[in-house]
Amino acid sequence: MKLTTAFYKILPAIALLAFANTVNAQNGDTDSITVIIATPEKYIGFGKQKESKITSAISTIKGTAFRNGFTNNIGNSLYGRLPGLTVNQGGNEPGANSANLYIRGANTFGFSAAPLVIIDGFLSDYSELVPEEIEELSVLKDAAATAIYGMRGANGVLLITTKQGKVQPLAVNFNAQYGFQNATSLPNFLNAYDYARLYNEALVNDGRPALYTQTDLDLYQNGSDPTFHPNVNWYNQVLRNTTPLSNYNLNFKGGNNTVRFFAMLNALTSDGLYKKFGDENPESSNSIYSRYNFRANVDVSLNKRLTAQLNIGGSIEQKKNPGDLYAGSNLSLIDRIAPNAFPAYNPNGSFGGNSTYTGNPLANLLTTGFSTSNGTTLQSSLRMTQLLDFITPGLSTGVAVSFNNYFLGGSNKRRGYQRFSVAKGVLGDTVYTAFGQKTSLTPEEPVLSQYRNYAVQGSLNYDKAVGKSLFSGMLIYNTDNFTINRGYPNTDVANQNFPYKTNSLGTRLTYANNEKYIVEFSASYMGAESFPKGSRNGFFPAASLGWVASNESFLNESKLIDFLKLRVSYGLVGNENIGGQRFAFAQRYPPGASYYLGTGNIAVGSLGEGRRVNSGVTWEKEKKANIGIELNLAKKIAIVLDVFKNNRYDILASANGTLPLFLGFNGLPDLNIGKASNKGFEFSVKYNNDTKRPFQFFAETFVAYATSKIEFNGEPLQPNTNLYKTGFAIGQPFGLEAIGLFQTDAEIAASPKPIGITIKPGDIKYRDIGGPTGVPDGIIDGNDATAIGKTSIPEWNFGFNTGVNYKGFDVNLVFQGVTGVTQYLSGSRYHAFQNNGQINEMALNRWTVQTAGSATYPRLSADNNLNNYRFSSFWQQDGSFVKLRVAEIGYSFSDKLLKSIRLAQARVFLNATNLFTLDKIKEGDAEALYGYPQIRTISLGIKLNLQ
Amino acid sequence: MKKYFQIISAVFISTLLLFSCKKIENYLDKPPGVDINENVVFSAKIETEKYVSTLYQFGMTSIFPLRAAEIGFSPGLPSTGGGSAGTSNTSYVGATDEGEHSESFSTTQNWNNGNITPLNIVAAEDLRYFLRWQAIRVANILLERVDEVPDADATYKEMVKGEALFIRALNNFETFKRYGGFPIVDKRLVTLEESKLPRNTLEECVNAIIKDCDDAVAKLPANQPSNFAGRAHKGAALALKARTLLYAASPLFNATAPPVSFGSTEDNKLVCYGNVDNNRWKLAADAEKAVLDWAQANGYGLIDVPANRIPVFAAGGIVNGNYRTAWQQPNNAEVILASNIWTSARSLGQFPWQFILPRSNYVPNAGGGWTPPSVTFNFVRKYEKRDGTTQTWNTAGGNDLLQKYNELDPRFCQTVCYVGARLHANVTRIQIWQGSASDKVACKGGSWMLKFLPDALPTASQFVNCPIFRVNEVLLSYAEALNEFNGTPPPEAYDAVNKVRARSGMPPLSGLTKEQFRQKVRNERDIEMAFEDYRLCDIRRWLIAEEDGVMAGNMWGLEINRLNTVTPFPTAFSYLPFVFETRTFQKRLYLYPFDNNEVLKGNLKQNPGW
Repeated sequence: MKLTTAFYKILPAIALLAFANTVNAQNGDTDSITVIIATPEKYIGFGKQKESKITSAISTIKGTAFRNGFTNNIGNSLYGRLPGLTVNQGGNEPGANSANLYIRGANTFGFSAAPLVIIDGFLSDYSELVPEEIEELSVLKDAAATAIYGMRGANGVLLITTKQGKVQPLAVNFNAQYGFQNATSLPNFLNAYDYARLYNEALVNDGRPALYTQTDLDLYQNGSDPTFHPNVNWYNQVLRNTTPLSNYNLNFKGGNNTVRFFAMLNALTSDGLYKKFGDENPESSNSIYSRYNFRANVDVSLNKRLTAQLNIGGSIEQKKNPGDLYAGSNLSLIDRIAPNAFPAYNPNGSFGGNSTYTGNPLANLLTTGFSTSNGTTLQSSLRMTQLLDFITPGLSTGVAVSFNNYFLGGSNKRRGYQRFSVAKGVLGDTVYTAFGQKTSLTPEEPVLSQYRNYAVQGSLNYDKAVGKSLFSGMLIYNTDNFTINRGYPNTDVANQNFPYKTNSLGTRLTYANNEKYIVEFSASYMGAESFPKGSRNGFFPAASLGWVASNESFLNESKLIDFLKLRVSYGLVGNENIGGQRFAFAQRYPPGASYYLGTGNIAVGSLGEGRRVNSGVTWEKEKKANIGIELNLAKKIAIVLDVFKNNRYDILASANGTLPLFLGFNGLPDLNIGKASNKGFEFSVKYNNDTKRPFQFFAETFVAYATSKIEFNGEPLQPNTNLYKTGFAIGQPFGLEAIGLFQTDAEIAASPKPIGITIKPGDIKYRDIGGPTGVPDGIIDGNDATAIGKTSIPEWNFGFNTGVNYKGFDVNLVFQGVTGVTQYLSGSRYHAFQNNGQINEMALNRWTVQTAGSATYPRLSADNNLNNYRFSSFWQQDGSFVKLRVAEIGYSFSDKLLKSIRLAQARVFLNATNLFTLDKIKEGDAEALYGYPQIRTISLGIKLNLQ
Repeated sequence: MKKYFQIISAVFISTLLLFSCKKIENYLDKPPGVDINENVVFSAKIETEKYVSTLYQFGMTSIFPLRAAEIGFSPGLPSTGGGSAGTSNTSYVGATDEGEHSESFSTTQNWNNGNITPLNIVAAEDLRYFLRWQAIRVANILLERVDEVPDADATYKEMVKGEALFIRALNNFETFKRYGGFPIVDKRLVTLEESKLPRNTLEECVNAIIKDCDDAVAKLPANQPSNFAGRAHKGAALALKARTLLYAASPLFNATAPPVSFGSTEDNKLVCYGNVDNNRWKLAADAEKAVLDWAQANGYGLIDVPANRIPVFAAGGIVNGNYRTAWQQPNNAEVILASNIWTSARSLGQFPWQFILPRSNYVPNAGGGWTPPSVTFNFVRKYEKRDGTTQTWNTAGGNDLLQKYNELDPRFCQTVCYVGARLHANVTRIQIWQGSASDKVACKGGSWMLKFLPDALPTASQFVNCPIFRVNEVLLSYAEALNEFNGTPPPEAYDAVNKVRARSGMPPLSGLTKEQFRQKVRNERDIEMAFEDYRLCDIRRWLIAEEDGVMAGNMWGLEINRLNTVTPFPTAFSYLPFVFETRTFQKRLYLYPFDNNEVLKGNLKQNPGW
């Protein structure tokens, strides 16, 4: 293998190749190693299995397939890719954007519905990975797939396998991508003229005199007095329209019979949306996120039977921001500051400000210093595999250790600043009043987040074929120890930092007869230290059956049906991440206030039973049932349908509604009494045209539905049945039901109202549902809340992924959609004038006497309106959307051309992420209605493959 | 190659073996922490003492309403339909004929307008309902385990058991007096089955309280040394026993059927004896006598300095008589046991003063954060004249208000802050008249509370005197029980009540019929123990709530007008009684309803009528 010197110049890093080449040359032996899989295999829990033999519900995506979404967090690349995986994320702030994942929706109202993440066999975190290092990513959904993870599998498993080297000539891939990002949408606040005009209207509505004169309004309109009549769009002051981001990836893959390797370097840089404040003020910083990833996965065949696999991957990331580490607080300040409150800069160059608002958003970024965070991730494992075929063919054993570590430390330098309000003095001069205090830069170095994970595994595998019968068995022992702040209540300092530990022994036994009938049993016997001695181990079995009907004689001649498999699974899985106190079974006696004794009133400290614990605390359990069909037609179409029903029980729920208080507990315990169910289906169809034709086309679509139900949550009995959460979905919002706007005083007089608030025409009218005795009482209050809208986790997820390839050109589009989801508009961004806040464009459609019939927004009020901004269906919005998550067009250069410059492959591409959205919410992006906006990215890239 | 195999298989097999053995299982043991658990509590006397401190923190009742902040632990009180328990601050004087809150949102208004329900009962009066069960649990755990404390001697262990029994009895008594029978929890409840305890009959409950008291008397020391004041002794247990028997002998419980019947004789026994037995008064009288004997033997008794019986004072000056000393001075000889929940000294702006002082827009410079009830004219009318005769008040009003006031029982000016009187060092001549900040809207009754407020409060933090058992109450209870048991009041009954009257300069009672004596001693009880949270229960146990002006019917206030503008203070005032409120009382309220959430859990049978 030779390389042109030109490439050495361009990519000095390729110097590593020389080393790889040497290794290749030295190990030219041809010792036979059993490799190569005849039919495609998939990764499953602690192993691999031939796809046709899999009897569990697993969705899989190859790392190559989701590489083209250009995001700075891998979670964002998973939208619309995997049936049954819900990705929930709002804004896309670089370095802050870890998506919430749900597998088949939320199965529990307990502490955590997050899936287990397993990387290369070990508990880990996926958010720091880059797509290029991922071989395969799977979502394990049913009991047959997850029971082997015992009391950690109930929320589903995200199984990630990183790339390994193969016996192949060295391949060098280089990938460079550079692009720009902007916000998909920003709030539409009204300008100073409209603000002042409508503020006057609000005051008049409240029965108060108008504040702004016609002269004021004119000055706001013509902008001729920016000091005393400012009109500030703070977004323009602090945000850039577009900011750059780039990603470079270099990886090597290759190996021989002795050593196989995959090595990768990745560099990602993304600017935040802020302007370049560091360029304007050396004490500030530009908003930058950068991350360097590396990975070196090496397999070494120590001899014919013994293999060592060393995986080391990690990242170093840095985030810098002016002001706060995260942009959220400054953006929400902008939501509140009226456009005419004060100018960004006063005429004398000082920062504008006043007493009403906590700061000047621009000054917050320019003069308060900066915050940085530095993160390091290390994921490493060493696995030794020994074939024991000298005992009996097909037997092998292995041991593995893993050490994972993550640390995110902050380094901030912060200071206070002064801002000034301006007023006209009696002599027509300008009077400045100072707010805030200028201080010197103060450093701090907080620890922001960390985890450590240490694990040991031992395994025994056996595969045996006797005639038409295939038997495979696996036994796995896993013990791990991880220290992580799971966000538990911080009241338990004494026990906070003890590591979480588990032991488990798992097995999977598969029997297949004649490629037609498959029986599988898998189970885990697992214990965790979070549970009381004597009852801390659980047994989690699952069984599944598969029938490959296409191998039956009546179908195997079929031209249409290539493959048909029916499978069914049932089993028990657990979830030990139940929150609450650490060692929740151990009753504690915290100190309390003193009692005073004696004529001298001497304090005697007290010590009493803390909140009562659940001495038999146990993990959540779930019985999962799944039926699936896999059907391949005419060598072009692949269909998968899965239908599931999950029953979760032993969810921790408060005993308030069940245990009498004469037990004398200082706070009732949470008991394992909650029950929830979840059901739904996933249906996917994939079409591939004949790959031999020059025009290649594929299209893949899925629809996934999941709906949960609280079966029992121990809620207290109460007269208003409308308030019971039982029977509704997990996370169901409860609020008042808005039934339009009041039109007349007579209507108000005749209608139920809240007490203590003056209701006027144009205010929101609510339905009176309950009262202290459970019947409508003519008063609108908390008794009238009822289930309104849908949850924030969508019931329906759609994905559509299509591509064509013709004469070197390729196009790929990924659409994602959701429905059955409700979003809520609240806070200063949407509720006009609240807490002296802004007014959104949506308020133009407010109720006035003239627009009474067509108004879609309540009357304006300058008071903090307690009626109109209550949590109600009025402010709920249908959160359905369809987004074009990925659009990519590329061109691959022809082989002839490449050969002349010794390239195996070269491709240029133009890529867009989140290019457009169709949704029903006019006021913003349905996924990012608050805080940092969602990001649209357009980038240009090149991909080179040298061989 | 073979070597590798041996290593690998050795490692693997040994891990498998380890899994089943102890070492691996121990891997999952809870690591030793710095947290304290129950075993630590009983590992040393010094830790046990802290737990005893909790026993008192939770278990001592109080004449002031509960505030979570004073308990120290977050008591974990559940919120109820009527609002969050533990946040209410006001005195319950406004629930009775003693007072009236001017604020419509005060919880006591619920008592006045018939709005007490199972949803708000905890917030409306019984803020300790849940805390009592916690106290009982602490007591039960102490009883169960105090013997294990290695470095404590037998005397100490006996004393702690006695204290635990006393606190358990005290808290059961507080439940009994409000609800009748309750589930008797006499051990730490462990299983879910035990959480389904039903209510016991009233008789069983009274007997359980009496038994705990008797056991406590046997175990407790005769008295506590001065540095242990605030901890229970024999006298406290005797006084609790006596009070329990007195209440049990009263018409509410000593009856064939409750005011509102369950409909079945069996169920009625949950809230009353099911028969009338006059001998119960005898038991009560004997028990009261035992307290008095104990008091005599241990240096407790009425504060009676002859020179201070009738206080002499100048206008605007402090009124300092025996009666005032008895309520103002902590740990005085009259106090058998007081609650010492409050930090050593409390300043003007702190609980409980903050809620007894009128707020500053009613009485400038008073320093109150909230407002106490004003004192009703119904209550003022109960004061006799100094010669023991009834004061005559003109229902059409009059111009001699100050003269009327000055003629009253000397305890009046030591209890009530009337127009021109001194509230404390910062308000020496209080203004209550039409046109002042305290007009008849702000101060409906016509006067404010003075009792409980130390005079030096504005200048220095003051200790709180919060007696639970006092000698004067024992004397009056003794008189009441003797009179009820006998056909005519015996000399011992006169002797007891006259001692109380004499120390405040009031002439002795004599020559009364049983009924006359009953009325006098009831009136005496209201005057002597005004605002001390006895009245609400006394009204109910005597079954007199429905009488006009008690908890039903017209409540009277005074409209006061200045008759001159002499400086520094007007010298004459007119008064005009007016009805500020007509109250309703529902018969079912003689027994409190249990909290709705608790009833809905299935084991507590709700009281009749609710």
